Amino acid sequence: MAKLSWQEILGLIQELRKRGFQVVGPSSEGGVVKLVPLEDETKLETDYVRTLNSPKDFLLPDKERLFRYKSTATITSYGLKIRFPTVEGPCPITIVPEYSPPIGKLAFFGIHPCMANSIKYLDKVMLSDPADPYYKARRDGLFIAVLECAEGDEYCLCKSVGSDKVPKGYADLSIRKEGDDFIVKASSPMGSSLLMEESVEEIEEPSPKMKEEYVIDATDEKTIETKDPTTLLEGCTLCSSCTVVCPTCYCSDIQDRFSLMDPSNVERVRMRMSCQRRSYSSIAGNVLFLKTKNDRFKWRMKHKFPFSEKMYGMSGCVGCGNCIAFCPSRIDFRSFLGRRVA
Amino acid sequence: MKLAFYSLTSCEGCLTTLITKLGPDIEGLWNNFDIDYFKLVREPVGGSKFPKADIAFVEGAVVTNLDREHLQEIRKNSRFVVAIGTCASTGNIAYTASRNIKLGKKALSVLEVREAEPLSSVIALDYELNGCPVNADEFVDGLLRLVNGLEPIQPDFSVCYQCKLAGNACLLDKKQVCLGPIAMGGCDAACTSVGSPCLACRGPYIEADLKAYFKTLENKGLKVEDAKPLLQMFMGKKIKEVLKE
Ligand code: SF4
Ligand code: SF4
Ligand code: SF4
Ligand code: SF4
Ligand code: SF4
Repeated sequence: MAKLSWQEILGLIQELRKRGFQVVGPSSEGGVVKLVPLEDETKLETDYVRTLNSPKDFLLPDKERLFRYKSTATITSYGLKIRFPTVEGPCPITIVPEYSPPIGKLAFFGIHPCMANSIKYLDKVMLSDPADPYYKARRDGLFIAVLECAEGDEYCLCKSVGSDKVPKGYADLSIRKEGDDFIVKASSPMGSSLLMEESVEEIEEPSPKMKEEYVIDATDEKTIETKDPTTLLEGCTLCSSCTVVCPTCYCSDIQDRFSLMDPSNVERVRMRMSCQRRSYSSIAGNVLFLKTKNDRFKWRMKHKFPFSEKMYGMSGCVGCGNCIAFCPSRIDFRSFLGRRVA
Repeated sequence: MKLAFYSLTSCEGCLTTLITKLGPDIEGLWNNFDIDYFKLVREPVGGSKFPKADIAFVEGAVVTNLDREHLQEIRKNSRFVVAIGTCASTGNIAYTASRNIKLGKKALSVLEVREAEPLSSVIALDYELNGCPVNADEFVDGLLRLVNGLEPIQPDFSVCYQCKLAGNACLLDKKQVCLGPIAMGGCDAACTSVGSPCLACRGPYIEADLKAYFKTLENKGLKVEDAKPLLQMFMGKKIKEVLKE
């Protein structure tokens, strides 16, 4: 354990950068706090509740190239007949994926416990067999310094979903603010080498205080299915913001991009998707599974709670409250799945 | 494959955008396709003002009688007709403006002006690419999809989606009326990312829900009345479809 000044905290970030990490941490920008790469001029924010983005934006970018391949596409004048470009030869299996070169190993500095839990969830999803090589390339050697959270805002619910504490193995350092100073504990060999301390400590963090407490217990599939969210969703415009700002939403879509310059050069890209979008559940023949906003909201709830519990043994909601705070209509799922107790 | 690029009543900004924004792709466009007409760039090839084309791209709204006749000729001579830009897809500013301006019968007959309409009011249109001006990337994507025998896709998300991806604080919280929640996305939230509210220059989003949007404004303490004039600006004829739902 060490008591560090503000300058010494900045020193830790510099040291991480010296060791080849791309350090990402909270900074205030245009009226919101966001996780950004911390450069010399970036001001680290240590008094904040929520960040608009989350570690997933660095581990699973909005758009990434998976690989390129050659097709025999040519565009020729066939009168009114259209010629289809085709892919020839052994396809994807023999293609060596092009991982986006990591700019260095990643380090998250100053994220809250809910976000550390979100990394655990993403790991469960992306690293379960077979592991996603793109995610793994960014995830390997990840350094995490968690900043304890004293009190959430009116949208936080980490306590209700059990992610108010850092899961084991998801912090190299744990930082508590105390006046102008910071109490820093190392909880991994990497953390202690950074603190230049010998020992690794067990962290016992206090649970953050909640402004509003909820019991979230109506989370089984049947209950969600039978409830009617019509009134709750009156103001929902299906804008998908809730899934963009959610630290555990990982859905993606895969597209092939042809270029006009050289139509034989095709790029396969992975892009973010959202279950609130129409194309998420539409298939050939103009069939749409999740038709209404009620369907899509219920799907989101089912995936966050019962489906995640079943598949990964962990809640898919880490209680950060982002989907409520950043919804243009402040649609709040908490009373749909439970009740307020304090 | 033969392409033709036409212009009806407009600022010609969409075709200009294609020329200026395609970058190196413009060379690909020129080398890989037969471009038998491109307003501002190449006169019609082969004598006819409306050469036979596999795909005709048309910018602009139908405002004059001549526009109407030309569009019908274009339809006859093209396998696919694709509207490019918001004038062609909704009627844009001209749609509402031409209904508000009081022109006498005489002035109208001299100018041969009518109430502005989007292309879809006059012909059976195949596809629409929105934007004021059209987005060059979406154009390339749409063209290549057509070449591949696929339908061009319109974004299925509103401006809010990309606004959140860009990491912007919501302007509604700053008490500014923003049309983002009902506006068709795909612009990378160009305006809201620099702090100006969205005016839905790409027309309504395919699942635009006006009732929910008005409710959102109420929730934020904003006046629905303040949003109404903005809805008239770019959405043209499409605002009627949105209102119906
Ligand atoms: S952020 Fe809110 S309005 Fe947008 S889709 Fe989600 S619940 Fe609906
Ligand atoms: S569902 Fe909402 S509260 Fe839960 S993790 Fe996602 S954004 Fe946070
Ligand atoms: S299904 Fe919906 S709620 Fe679940 S991860 Fe995907 S976008 Fe998020
Ligand atoms: S600023 Fe506008 S576009 Fe952005 S989230 Fe808010 S309402 Fe949507
Ligand atoms: S933010 Fe709105 S007004 Fe601006 S470019 Fe996008 S759709 Fe058009």
